[in-house]
Amino acid sequence: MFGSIFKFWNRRLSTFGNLAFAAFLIAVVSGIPLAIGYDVDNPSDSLQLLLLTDAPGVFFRSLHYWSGQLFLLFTFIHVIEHLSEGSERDLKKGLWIRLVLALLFSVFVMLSGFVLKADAEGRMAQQILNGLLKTIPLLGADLQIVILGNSNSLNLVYIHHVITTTLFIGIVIIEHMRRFWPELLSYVYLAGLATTLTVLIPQGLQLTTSAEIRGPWYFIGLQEILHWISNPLLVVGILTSGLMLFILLRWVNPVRSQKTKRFLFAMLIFYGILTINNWGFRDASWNSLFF
Amino acid sequence: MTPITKSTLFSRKKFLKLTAVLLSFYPLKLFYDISRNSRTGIGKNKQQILSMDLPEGISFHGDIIAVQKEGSPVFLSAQCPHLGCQINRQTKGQLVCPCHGSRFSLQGKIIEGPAARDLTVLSYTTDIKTRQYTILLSN
Repeated sequence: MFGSIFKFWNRRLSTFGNLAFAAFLIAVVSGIPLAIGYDVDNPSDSLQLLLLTDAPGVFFRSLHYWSGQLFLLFTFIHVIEHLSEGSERDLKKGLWIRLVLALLFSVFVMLSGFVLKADAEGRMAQQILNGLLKTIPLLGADLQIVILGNSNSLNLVYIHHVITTTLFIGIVIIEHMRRFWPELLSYVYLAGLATTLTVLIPQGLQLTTSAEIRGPWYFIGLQEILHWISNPLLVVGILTSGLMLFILLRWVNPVRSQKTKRFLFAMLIFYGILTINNWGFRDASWNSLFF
Repeated sequence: MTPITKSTLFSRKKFLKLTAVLLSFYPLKLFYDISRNSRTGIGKNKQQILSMDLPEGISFHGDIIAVQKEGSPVFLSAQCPHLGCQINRQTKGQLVCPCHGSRFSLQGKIIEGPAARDLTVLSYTTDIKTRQYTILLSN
C-alpha cells in the first residue's frame, strides 16, 4: 500500500529524504541569527527582546521552528518509506547505526529547541527530561550531566542544540546521501511550505504556566504513556527496547525483520492514538472523553 | 571449515578500527569532565518569603502552594513527585499536575497517580514583626 503512495509522491514531487535535508539546512541557517541573539543566562528575556523589537527576528524564529518541524516529519516519513521497501539492508551496518543515532539526535535537537524557549512549556519539558534521566539506575546521573549539564543553566543544552547534535546530524546526512546539497527543487518546495507556515502561524512564547502543559507533538503520546505508567523507569525501559528492536532490523533475517516492522508499525499507530486522545479529547484536568 | 588465516583472525583494518574505537573513549571522558564542570548558572532558591496576609483557602506561589485554613497555613511543595512538574491549579477541591494528571487532595495527599507519593509539606518560620513567612524549599 505504502509503496504506490511513495512512488506517486516521488514521481511528482521531491523525495522525502531530499525534503528532510532541505528542511535541515533551512533550519540551520535560520537558527544562526537566533543563536546570536540568544543569551543562556537570560534565555526567556533574550527571546522576548528578539520577538518584541526585531521584525526579522520574529520571521527567523518562526522559520526556524517550522523548518525544524518539517525536518522531523519528513525524516520520519523517509524512514517509513525505506523500511516498507526493505532498503535498510542496502546500508552498511556501521552507517545504519549512525543513522539510527542521527534519528535519536534529531528528536533531541527538536526537544532541546523546545527547552531553549525557556517559557513555561520549555521549563516543564526540561524538568520531565531531568526526571526521566534521574530514574535510570547507575548511568542516570552521568547522562544528566552529559546531556543537560549539572545546573539550572541552559548552557549545555544550548551547546548541544547549536553544535553537537547539529554537527552530527549534518555529517551523517551527507554520508548517507553522498552529497552536500539536496535537489534544488526540494529547496523550492520546502522554502515555500516553511515560509507559508511562518506567515500564517507565527510562533510566540508561552510565558505564564497555563493550566494545560503539552509537550511538542511528537512527545504528546509519551506524555500520555507517562500518565498511564506510573514508574518512569519502566517507560524508559520500553523506549530503549523499542530502539534496540529498531537497530536490530538490519541484522535479523528478512522474515523476522518483516514481523518486527509490523510490530513497530502497530506500536506507532498505538502511539498515534494516544497522541490524538491527549490532544483532542483531554481537558486541562486530564479528564478524557474515552479512556 | 574455513581455515583461520592471519587476515581473518585480526586484520590490520580491524586493528585500526578497534584502536579508533578505544581512543574515542578519551575525548568522551574529557567531554564528560568538561560538562560536569560547566557553568553552574543561577542556583535555585533555597527559601521563599511570603506575606502573612495569605488569602483563605488555596493560593499558588511558584514553587509553593499555600493552604490557609482558619488563619493557620500549610505550605506544600508545588513540585509533582512524579517527574517534577509545577502544580499550578486546583479543580473541584483537588490539585492537578498539568503534565501527567496526578491528583492530590488540598492537604497534599495522593488521590490518583501516576505520582506515587504525597506532595512534600514544607517547613517554615514566622516573623511577626515583618508579618512574613520564610518557607524552606528543600526540607
